[in-house]
Amino acid sequence: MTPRKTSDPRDLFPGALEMMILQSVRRQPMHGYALVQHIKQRSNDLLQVEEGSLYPALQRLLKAGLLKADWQTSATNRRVRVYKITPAGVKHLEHEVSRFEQMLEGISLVLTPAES
Amino acid sequence: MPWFQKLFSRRRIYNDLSEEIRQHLDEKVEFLVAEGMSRSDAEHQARREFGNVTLLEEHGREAWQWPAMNSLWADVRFGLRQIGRYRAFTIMAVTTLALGIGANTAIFTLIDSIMLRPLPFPQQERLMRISGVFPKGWIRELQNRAESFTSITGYGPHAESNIEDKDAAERVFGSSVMVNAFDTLDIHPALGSFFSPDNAIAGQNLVTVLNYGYWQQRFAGNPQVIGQTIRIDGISRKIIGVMPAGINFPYTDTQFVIPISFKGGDTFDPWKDFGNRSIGRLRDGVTPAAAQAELRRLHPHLLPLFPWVMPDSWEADTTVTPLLDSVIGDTGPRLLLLFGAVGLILLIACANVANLMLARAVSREREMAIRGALGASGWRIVRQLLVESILLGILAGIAGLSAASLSLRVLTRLLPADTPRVADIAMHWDVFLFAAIASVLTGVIFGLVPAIKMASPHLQSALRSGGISVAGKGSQYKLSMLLVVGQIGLSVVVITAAGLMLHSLYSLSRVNPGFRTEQILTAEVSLDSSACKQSGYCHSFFQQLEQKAHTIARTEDVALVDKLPMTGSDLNYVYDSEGNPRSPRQIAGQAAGRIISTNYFQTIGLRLLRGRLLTDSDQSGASRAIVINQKMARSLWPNQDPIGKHIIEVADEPTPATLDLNAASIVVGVVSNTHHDSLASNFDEEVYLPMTRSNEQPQMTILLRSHLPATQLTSGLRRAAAELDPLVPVTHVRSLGEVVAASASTPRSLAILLLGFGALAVGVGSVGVYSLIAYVVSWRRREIGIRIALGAPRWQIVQAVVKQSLLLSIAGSITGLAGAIVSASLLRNFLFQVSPFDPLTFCAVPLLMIILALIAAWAPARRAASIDPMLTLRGE
Repeated sequence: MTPRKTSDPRDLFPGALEMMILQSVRRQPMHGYALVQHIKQRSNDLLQVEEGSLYPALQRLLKAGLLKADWQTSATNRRVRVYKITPAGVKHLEHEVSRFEQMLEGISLVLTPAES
Repeated sequence: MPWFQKLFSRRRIYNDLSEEIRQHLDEKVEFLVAEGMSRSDAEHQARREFGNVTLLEEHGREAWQWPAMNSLWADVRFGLRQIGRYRAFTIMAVTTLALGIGANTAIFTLIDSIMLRPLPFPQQERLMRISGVFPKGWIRELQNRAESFTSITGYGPHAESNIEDKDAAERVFGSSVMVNAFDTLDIHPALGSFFSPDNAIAGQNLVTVLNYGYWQQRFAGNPQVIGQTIRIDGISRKIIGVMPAGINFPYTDTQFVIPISFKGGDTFDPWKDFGNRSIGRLRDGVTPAAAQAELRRLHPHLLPLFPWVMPDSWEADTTVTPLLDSVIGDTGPRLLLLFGAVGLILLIACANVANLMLARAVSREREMAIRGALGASGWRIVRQLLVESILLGILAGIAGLSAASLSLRVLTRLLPADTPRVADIAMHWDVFLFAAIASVLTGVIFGLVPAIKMASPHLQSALRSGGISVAGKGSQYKLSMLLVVGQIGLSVVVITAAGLMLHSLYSLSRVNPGFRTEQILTAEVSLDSSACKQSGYCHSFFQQLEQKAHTIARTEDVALVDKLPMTGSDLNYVYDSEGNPRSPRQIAGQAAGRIISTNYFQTIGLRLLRGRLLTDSDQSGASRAIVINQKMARSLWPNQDPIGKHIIEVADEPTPATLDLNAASIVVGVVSNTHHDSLASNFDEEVYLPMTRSNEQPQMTILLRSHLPATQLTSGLRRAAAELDPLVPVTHVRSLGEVVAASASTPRSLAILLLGFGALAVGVGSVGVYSLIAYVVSWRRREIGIRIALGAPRWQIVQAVVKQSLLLSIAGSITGLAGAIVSASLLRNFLFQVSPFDPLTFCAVPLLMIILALIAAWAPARRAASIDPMLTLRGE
């Protein structure tokens, strides 16, 4: 039996991290470290993403063909692996986002006190 | 993408991932250092924020793996760790199972090599045995006329011949075959050529083909032998070919074959000798049944071809069966019987290991409960446990396979002497496949019950109580008890079978053969079979030999006989008798004939019932005297005096079925019956003929009755024979007791094998009882401790433990006897004068089980009685 990791960001909800990655990379291709910094900043540090947990998610996205990766040399002369979104990734992202919005809408409808 | 490319690219992906993570950490450290942190603090901080690097990297890799495979691999690794951890358990389980799998693999190897492997001939499934014993002319006619076969051939009896060297002759098994035999088998010589049609013509038949093994052994595989001559029974024959390796035809130990030939112009020659067997190759699309029907249709049309009138029923019901089936013969059911026994042993072993696992399940209950609590599904746990047990099964399979290959030699030697294809016994790929399937299946069988039981633990109670309770929970080992009862039951089935065989063997050994066997040494003395062409030579040789043998110190009796009883090759004496007329188209009387010297009756202790015995003067042939046995006298002339009645051998009748009183033999005496065929066979008709010049034989067996040790007698005999003829071989030296014992070798070896397996079954079964009782006692330590503290006498504790073992054993025996009754009828054909429901066996076996139960309970009972209440209660 493989032990379950307790700090899995999928604890948020499945696919959340992937969605954020795709969205970030869609705006601008970047490498893993930059991606973490980007997500932290954009979320105003509200989302405490364990930095390393990004990488399994990146691998899943690569495997699914939603991302592409290339080794490049960064401005600071560091070998970095830069991720780009693929057309399939764009399609997937849009689909997921709309599903997420639907879900959010559903949840908020339920949570909003009923007007009697 | 081909899989191997995938493998390489996967390695690259993993490398990329590792480097990426390394770079990430570096970048973070640099950032932190730039912010003013010390390098070592920065490294710690970076790692902390990154998380568990190894684990995350592994999760990253998992994205690329086949998830089921991956977790299965994890199960396997975990299972291996478990196996390594519980070493005592592993050794116990693997040993038990290895015994079971090993025994099964060994017996399957026999079944595979003997019954399943095709014969070494092309399209061997079309080769058929045509049942019956025929003259060569008959087989030739079948070959010419039967449409169902592309070819029909025949071969003569299995016979020993003298093969001469310069200074000695050795006895070598050979046979004769019709010249089309090798074409029918569709095989080609390893060297030289096989027989040509010309070799079937008398005069052109002085050739021989050697068996590959004999060529290797006697001629060291020298290819120059082709064209050389070899003297077989005093006749020089040219070696023209060598059979391919692995072909033993027509008999297992045939070393050479000579052609069956026909004397042109002699009308009787093709029809005289009734010693040939026949095989044929079916035409494509013809079934054995259709071929058989054709042969039976042909029969009445061929019968008139005999130069005399033949009985209508002679070989009229010939059968056509696949050659392989006829080669396997009686061995098939025997092997299947053994296979059944070892199959049960494997089941017993499975039950044993299942019980061990159940016992261990208790100690692992908390582990399972925690897993369940952490969200592992039942199926997940079952799978994990099954993987564990299959791994055990595979380990046991490897051990069992090695055990089987090591024991195969011994096992082969234990097989009945008449087992066919013994030389071909070897482990082929399907044996390994069998072992693999057996191992995995075994793992599933013994693993499933404990796995299902373990996967549904009473979570909370297990976690809460910490596995501690005062009184043992009965339900905990109810299943174990059931398994042990089953185990005992199966052991009972196996040892009942073994017991029945043993009892049958015992009754066989109690049979009085009808003649004396004590202190009689026998030996075959063989002249060349062509020696008697010089009329009277063989007769006087053996007369002189008998006289010389008398001079061997302290020999009490000496006698000669053409064929010893119980060696399966009696003279077939086909006769007509006075007062029992028949038409030529009816079948004549048949008796087992023996050509004997005067002293034979006295030597083996046959009783004279009427008239007189044969005398030396009868050997002149003038008196035409013969002696018959009681059975024959009663069936030919009930309520009449058999003395002075006439009997004639059919071969001596000028016209069939006519009794010429002036040529017929005269019954002068009646002697007691013997079981001349085998101990298991009934009495039948026997005729004793005096050695005369007209029935002289090139080969006789000499019997020496003496108190001298066999070695001394043998050397004396060899000296005596060599004085008469330095080249004459003296072979098959053995006591008459050995000859009789050899006739029971098949039931004996079956009984020995079954007893061995029975012992194995009982051994494994008793270990099962012992471990359960021991386990129950350790489980109830606390309860027993409290009882003792409360004043229970220790004998009561012992009694309780022993009672439990006894109850298990009794329940198991009852189940087992029921099973034995069901399966006993399968044994009926193997038993001699013992009912398959033999009361002795059916009582002895449960008794044995009860004794074993007492023994198995002894140690745990003593341990229970010696429990110190203070210690156990303090341990709480």
